[in-house]
Amino acid sequence: MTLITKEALHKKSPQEITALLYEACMKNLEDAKSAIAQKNYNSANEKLQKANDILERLGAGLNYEAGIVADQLDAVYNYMADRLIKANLNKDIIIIDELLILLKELSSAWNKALVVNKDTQVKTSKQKTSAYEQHSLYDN
Amino acid sequence: MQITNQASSNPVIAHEKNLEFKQGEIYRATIKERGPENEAILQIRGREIQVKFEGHRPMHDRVTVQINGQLDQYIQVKAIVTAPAASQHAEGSNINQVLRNLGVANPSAELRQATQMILDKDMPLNRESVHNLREFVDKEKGTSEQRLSTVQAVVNKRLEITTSHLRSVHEALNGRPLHEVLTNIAKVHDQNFQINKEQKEIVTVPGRTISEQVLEVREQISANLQEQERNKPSELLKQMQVTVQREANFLNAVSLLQNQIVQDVFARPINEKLNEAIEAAMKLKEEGRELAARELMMQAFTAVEHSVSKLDQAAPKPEVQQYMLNEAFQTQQVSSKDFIVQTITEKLARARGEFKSLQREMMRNLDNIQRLSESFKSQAVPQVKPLLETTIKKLDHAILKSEMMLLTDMKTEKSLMQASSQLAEAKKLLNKGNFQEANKIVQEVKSMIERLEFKPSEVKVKHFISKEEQNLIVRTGSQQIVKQIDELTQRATMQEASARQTFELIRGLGLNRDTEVAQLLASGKHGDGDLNQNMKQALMQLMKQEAEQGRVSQQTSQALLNITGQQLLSKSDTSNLQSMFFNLPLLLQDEVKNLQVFVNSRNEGQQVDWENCSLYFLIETKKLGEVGILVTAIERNLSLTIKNDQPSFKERIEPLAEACKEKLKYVGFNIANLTFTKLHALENKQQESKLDKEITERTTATFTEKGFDYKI
Repeated sequence: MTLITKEALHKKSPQEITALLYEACMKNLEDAKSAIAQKNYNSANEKLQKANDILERLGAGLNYEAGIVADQLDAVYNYMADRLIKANLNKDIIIIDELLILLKELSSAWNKALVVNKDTQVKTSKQKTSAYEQHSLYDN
Repeated sequence: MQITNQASSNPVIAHEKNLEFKQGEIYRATIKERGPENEAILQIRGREIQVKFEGHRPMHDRVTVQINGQLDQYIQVKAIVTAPAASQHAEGSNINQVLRNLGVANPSAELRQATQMILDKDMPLNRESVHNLREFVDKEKGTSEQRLSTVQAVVNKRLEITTSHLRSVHEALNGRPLHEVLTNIAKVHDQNFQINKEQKEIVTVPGRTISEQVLEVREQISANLQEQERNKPSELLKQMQVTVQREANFLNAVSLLQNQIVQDVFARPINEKLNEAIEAAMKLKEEGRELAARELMMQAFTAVEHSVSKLDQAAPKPEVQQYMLNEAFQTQQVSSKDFIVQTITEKLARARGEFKSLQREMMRNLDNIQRLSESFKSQAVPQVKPLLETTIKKLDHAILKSEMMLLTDMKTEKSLMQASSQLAEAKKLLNKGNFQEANKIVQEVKSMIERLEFKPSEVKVKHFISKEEQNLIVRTGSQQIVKQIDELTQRATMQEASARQTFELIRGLGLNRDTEVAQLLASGKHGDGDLNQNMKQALMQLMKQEAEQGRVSQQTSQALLNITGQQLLSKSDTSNLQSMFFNLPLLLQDEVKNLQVFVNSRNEGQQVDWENCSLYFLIETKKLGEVGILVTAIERNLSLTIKNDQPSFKERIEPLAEACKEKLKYVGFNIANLTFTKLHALENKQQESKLDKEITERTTATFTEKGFDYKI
């Protein structure tokens, strides 16, 4: 059953898609949890891998020009991905729960930001945070 | 087809190639040096060649020679006439002699004149070309003046003298205007369509038909409203499901659902269940769990599905056939629309991505340029120049070739064009060593590009959709022709005039077809259907079809010749003067008119120097008669001459011209002066020098290749 068509997805803003990613990640973790409870390790493995993929995608989508938050998020994602692999290795529900809590916080913060949808950072401070970027040379 | 060296990349080589001598060809030459015996150094078309004369060596320096073969390192030539050209009479007899040598016994006056033209331009003559020429000059329709003008045009463009070249060019220059021929073709095929009315409607007026059909369906529905209404519940449920799946904004979907539930015929318990589900889903959505909310809704739908289908069965059966018919009809329309909408959203998303990456790349390049020029100061030129060039090229490519310009709004397009021209300016300054000024411009452009946002414009997207929709329908040649004509003439009115539009118009005519096909073949990719979207293609298809049926209509071949002729006349020149000629159908107050464009400019490699060129537009209007507009651009300063025979024309046009000035300023042009003259006072002079004028005045696709729009 399709919950959302491709067409509708194309209409979504990048921010909304990020929110969907958080949610999908959570859903996969929850599914994995119940699969472990049922001792269906094969499906649990699949779900956890999927969750890992999503985390990776989230990490790839980071905009480092946004300032320090991005770097912090990067660290959190990396940590979560690490833990997730451990959880998958041992099929450890406790770690999954821990990850779920983290994700929920991130997701709710993100959703709040989505509702407010306002950039409080002043332009000058934005320039300051991305000062490093401005003076770096890119290679083509 | 007939175009061979459309994309001759290196003009120099092309020029050299022309100087391969073939036996029997006749040239005009000057004797530079006289060697021992019969040897001499001749200058033919600016090149010095060692030759040996057969028979006696002529006394005069100006000679006409026939190539006889190669002997050691010498080329053997035979002097045909020595031409002091003292009198008209002598000249004439010389030509006679030349022609006799090529096997033409009694040349007509026209043929002599044509031969003269060819020799004057230092073009080679041989038996075959003279034969072709004779056929053409003596037998082609039109006045002798027109035929000669064709020959002149062919010669000026340095095209080989072949029958097909002559014919095509003749058609483009002197034939019936393209729009007339096209309308005639359309009329012929329109009649065919009338037999099958429905088809015709779909082809020619797709927008209206669908709405009409929908109306029809509606009427039918209201006719058997009661049965249908009762038949609906399960359908409605499905619709609701689709709404949830398809609506990007979940809140919107919910409000739509609520509306449907309120007016609906479901039994009460079902309504209640759905409402509950909606409430729960809303809560989930507020928590940010949109997917869960959607899932919940879908579950609710499946839960009630069973009881709803029971409702269906309870309903009395309507006229099933009628319903099925309507339903099938309706769903078909909807599905094709959906498909388009889907691709549009995808295209939009992709175009946005493309735009972003273009923006990023431009910014990076400009940044680099700035840094380089700051650190190396005046030594930066060699490093910065190629970078600047690629940036400009990329930008131009994006403006003309990428799909995003088909979707974005006019302002963005103009801004990008402006950026391109400003960068060109910067390049010039850089060449002069004025790196500070150049840097300033780069800075400006950078901040401008930074501010740009990708905003699809509604009009353009709509146009795009209608085009996509047309692509879905498979057509025969005749249908395609009608559609093409329709599209070509409407294009200008349907959308704002812009550089991209003009380029598309020219592409639509098929003037770019051969190059595009070549590129496609070279790249090994297969066409995405876009290739079939031009007039030439359609005409060729039609021709093939007609040939299969054993008849080829004169009009089709005429139109095809016309287009080929335009291509020939616009092919890239070998000298450093580029001239072009276009014959564009244009919709002017509900009537298709012919706009003739002559372009003339300096040739900069493969590009037309659009900052220094002259354009001449000639159009026949209903109210004003023939209007000629001459635009000369020198370093972005335009001087405009408008020619018309109507009294008080100046007073009527001046305010319009003023407005036009403003618009041109926007894309970086200045109108230096504006003059009005009579068209026909000049025309007399033109009669004689018409050829020269046409040819010298034939120039570029400047505005298409480089992009600026002339409002006409």
